[in-house]
Amino acid sequence: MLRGLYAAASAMVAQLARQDVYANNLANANSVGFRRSRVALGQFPADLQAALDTAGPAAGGAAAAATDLDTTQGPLTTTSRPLDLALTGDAFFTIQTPNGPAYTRDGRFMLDSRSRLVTLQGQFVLGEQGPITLPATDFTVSAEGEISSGGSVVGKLRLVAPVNARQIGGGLFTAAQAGPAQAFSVSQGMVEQANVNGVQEMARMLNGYRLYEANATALRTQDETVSSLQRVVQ
Amino acid sequence: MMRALWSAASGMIAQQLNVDTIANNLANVNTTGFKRERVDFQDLMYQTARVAGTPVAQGVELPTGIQVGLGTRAAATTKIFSQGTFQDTGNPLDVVIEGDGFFQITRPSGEIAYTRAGAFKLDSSGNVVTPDGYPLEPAITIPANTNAISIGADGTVAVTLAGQTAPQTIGQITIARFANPAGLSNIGHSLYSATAASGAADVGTPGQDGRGGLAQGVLELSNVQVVEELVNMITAQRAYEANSQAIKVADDMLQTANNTRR
Repeated sequence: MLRGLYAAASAMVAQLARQDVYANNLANANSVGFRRSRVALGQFPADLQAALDTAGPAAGGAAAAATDLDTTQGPLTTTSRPLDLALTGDAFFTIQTPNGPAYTRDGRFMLDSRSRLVTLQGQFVLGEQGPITLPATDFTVSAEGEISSGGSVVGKLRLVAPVNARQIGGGLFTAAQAGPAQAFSVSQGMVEQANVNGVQEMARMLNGYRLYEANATALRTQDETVSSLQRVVQ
Repeated sequence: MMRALWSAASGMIAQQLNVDTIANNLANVNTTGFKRERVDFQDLMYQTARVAGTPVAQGVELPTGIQVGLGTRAAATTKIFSQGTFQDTGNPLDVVIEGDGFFQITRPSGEIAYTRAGAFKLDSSGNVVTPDGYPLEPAITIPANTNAISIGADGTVAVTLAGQTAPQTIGQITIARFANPAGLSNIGHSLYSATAASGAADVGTPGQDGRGGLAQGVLELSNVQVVEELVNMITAQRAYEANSQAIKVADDMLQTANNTRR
């Protein structure tokens, strides 16, 4: 059949995939420490196209090629809660999970029943020496991540810069490797909001919608062309 | 069907919960000892269509994969135990805890509950009770012929009896502290009960071991900031709207697909 028909259809599928990503970004506009995903569209792989196309090389349509994380800084908001920590720069908190260390920018921490620093899911927030136990008294967290209480340092947060991190839900990220964080700052009593801008995300969705419509029209036009051709033949 | 529809729906549901919580905070803006709550949202889970790092040719790996998130969810409602504002009442049975800690209250079932609301009253037999009539633990009984009650920062309760000049100590208020107060369970009537998450109550003298001291004649108002709650409400409403628009776009696209063939 007409190659253009497949090209338009593949573009429609690709635009649908983009909408899924943008809708997830919008849904997480209020998730602290969330990083929005971006979608890159690419050409439909040439070898796959050739397999279903015996008429020789042609422009092959579009497919979602990759999603990656937008690592721009999210805005900080004040909460005045001492256990809320916000990061700026390239650092991530290190969290202990059953599947090894995970990373997060969501610094809404809690204390468990034994005064250890945990995430909202109850997983340990790791310091340089493992889980951190806080004293009963007030404490402060320095810009470098040092936790001190009553004039003495009780622990230091393990702040790392994961390479090629990907989100796994629950505010967590994983990465094959993580190096030391270089340029960062910890702010106590603040949280980092998601780096999602609702207006931009809506604009991307509407743009995707119009491209989708355009491709649907292209598809229909070709269908009608074939149909009128058939009428001529008859 | 499109994942976008469900992702956006999860965003709308999350914002409903957000508004519910904000409305409760606002409703309790004048509740003594009330602590505001906030809903903590997190991203749900991700569908991986193509794994980053997959080798595609000799020595060539995909730098990024394809991951599609499936929306958001509420991870927790966190009680914020920041200090509420103080109101000077001059009433000798109004007591605040300046800092960490909870008054202990004996419920009718005999269980101990905890509260920050120190608006105490006397019952017919002179017991110090909450506005609901639940007695303070340890029980304090004020003698009938009392002229003045004084409560010290360390919880010492002393009374001056009619016809006497020297006050005499009649009891000691102890307060409880928890490793994780956010893990306490709300049971209404401004009371909390201990849970496995909060840890065991660490009961002792006010002003010691991280417990706050007491102050008499003052009430602790709620820590709800109306402006902050209203800003949160606006944010929630706009996020709700944006998610409903996302649903509309997804719906329109599906309609377009259905109309492709005429």
